[in-house]
Amino acid sequence: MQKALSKGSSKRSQKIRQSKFNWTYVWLAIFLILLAMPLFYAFIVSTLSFKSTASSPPKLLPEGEFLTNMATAWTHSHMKVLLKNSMIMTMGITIGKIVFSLFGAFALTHFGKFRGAGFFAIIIIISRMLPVHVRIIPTYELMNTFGWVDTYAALIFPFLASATGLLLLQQVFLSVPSEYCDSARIDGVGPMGYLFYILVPMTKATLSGLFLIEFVWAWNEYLWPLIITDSSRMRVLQIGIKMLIPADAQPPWNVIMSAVIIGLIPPLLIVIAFHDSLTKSVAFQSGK
Amino acid sequence: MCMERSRFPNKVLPYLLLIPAAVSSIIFIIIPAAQSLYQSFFFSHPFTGQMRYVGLKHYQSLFSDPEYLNSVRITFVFSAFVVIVGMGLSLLLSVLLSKRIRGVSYFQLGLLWPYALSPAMAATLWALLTHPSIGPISHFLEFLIGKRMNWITDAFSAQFMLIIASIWKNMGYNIVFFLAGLANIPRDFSEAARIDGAGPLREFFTITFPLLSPVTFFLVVTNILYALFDIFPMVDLLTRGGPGRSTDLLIYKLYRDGFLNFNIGIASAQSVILFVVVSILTLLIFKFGSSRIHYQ
Repeated sequence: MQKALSKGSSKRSQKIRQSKFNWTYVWLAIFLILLAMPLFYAFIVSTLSFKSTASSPPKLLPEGEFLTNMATAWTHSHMKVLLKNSMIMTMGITIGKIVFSLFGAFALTHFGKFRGAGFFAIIIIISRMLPVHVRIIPTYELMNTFGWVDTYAALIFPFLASATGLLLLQQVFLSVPSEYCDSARIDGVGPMGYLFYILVPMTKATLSGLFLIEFVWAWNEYLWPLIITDSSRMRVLQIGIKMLIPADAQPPWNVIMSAVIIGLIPPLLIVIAFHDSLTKSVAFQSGK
Repeated sequence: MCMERSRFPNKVLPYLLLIPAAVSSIIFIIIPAAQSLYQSFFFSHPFTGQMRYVGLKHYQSLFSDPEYLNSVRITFVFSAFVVIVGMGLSLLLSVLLSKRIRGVSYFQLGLLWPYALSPAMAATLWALLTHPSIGPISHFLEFLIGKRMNWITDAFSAQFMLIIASIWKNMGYNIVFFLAGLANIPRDFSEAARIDGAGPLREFFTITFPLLSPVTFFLVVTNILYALFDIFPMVDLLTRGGPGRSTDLLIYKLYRDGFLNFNIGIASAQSVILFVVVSILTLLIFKFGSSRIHYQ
């Protein structure tokens, strides 16, 4: 049905396309230039020499210092450590969140009514209302009590409970026809087998959409790492960029922009790889 | 979906499966939040940590503190711009991007990439672009209006720049969700409107926009949350609340009071107020969002 519809409408729009020049392209191109301009300029600056970055009016044409600046950004900011820490934090949060939500959503949808299910549901809804910013001081004190300040545990654990993921997966699990579950049970598949061999593959689009959202969010988190880590050994990329900007001197913009470009690569790759499934999983979420 | 769905007759497993999510929620979310509420009723000494009960005094002093009221006001204005201008532009772009024309997926990717960019990096980029002496945007604006916008010294320029940068940063996110919403609108509706002689504008306001309202509503709430919290790195890296507290948004004030001035009681009271705002928004999502769950 859906396929037939889209086929029909693509034929129709083909006719429209042939009939007149399409202004949509012009508008899209204008917006594309406006929105992409900051990144484009970052590329230009990353090719300039330090002296050229201070010129006024600014230079708008690239020079040949790109590789030198990249190398300086890499060594000067201890990029290897920053990338490693950001990656550990991000993967820890993302995978932990997805596994916890997967288990929780499965428990709440596939075992009928059990005592305490309502209690769990309430805990989840309350968690949804409490972003880290509104509980930041006690969470810091808690990390202090655990002796976790300036550790990976402190960067990861406070973010593991994810109401968003759980609610999204709960909804998607409910939409899987129960015949699958019936036949799996007749074939003697246990609950965990059903979860991993049938539910997970069936909801792959939603899971990759969730992975994208959580990865980008965790990679870009700034306030919590700023507060909870203080040694350069534990510093994440977002804070490392801040440290490149000196308070009292002319900032080395060419090096800073190189670092920004390096730091943008991991989440950008994830967005390019998964943005289709994000669109699909959101479509799923918002109903018809 | 059938309500009488098949179940696994296992009595212990669901509890085991819920333990990770529930325990981490309680330890890392609910208890700290309760503590925030508790601490907001106490004065705690910055150095000795001694606590003295003061009741609602922190709340009273916040709401009579011109600095805090200033933060409330600018956060409100800021959110309004992010929601109205930012979402308006994103919707316009999404409608263009949802047309079935050749090469549109490249445009989609080209327009939603700022989603991947972190607020901290976006702030760094804009610090350079709008730098009073070497930024290309400052030079271009000077060329246009004959006056240089210096956000380091001028309050209006700082607010203007922060709003533009924040809107720009969040457009990718908005576009992702609007596109998903637009993809769900059946094409026959717009066909029918066109046959009845409705122009593109009328079609948009009578068909597309009403059918998009669940997504729009969801985005209004997430955009407000973005303006409330996720903007922190922008303020911290660009303006540090200045000049003259002109960009001292609520989250930055909370950070200043709690982590720079060690005024735990006042900062906790601010957390609780933010919590109330977020709760109202979340409840609205649940109330509105419940219509999205379809049991067939």
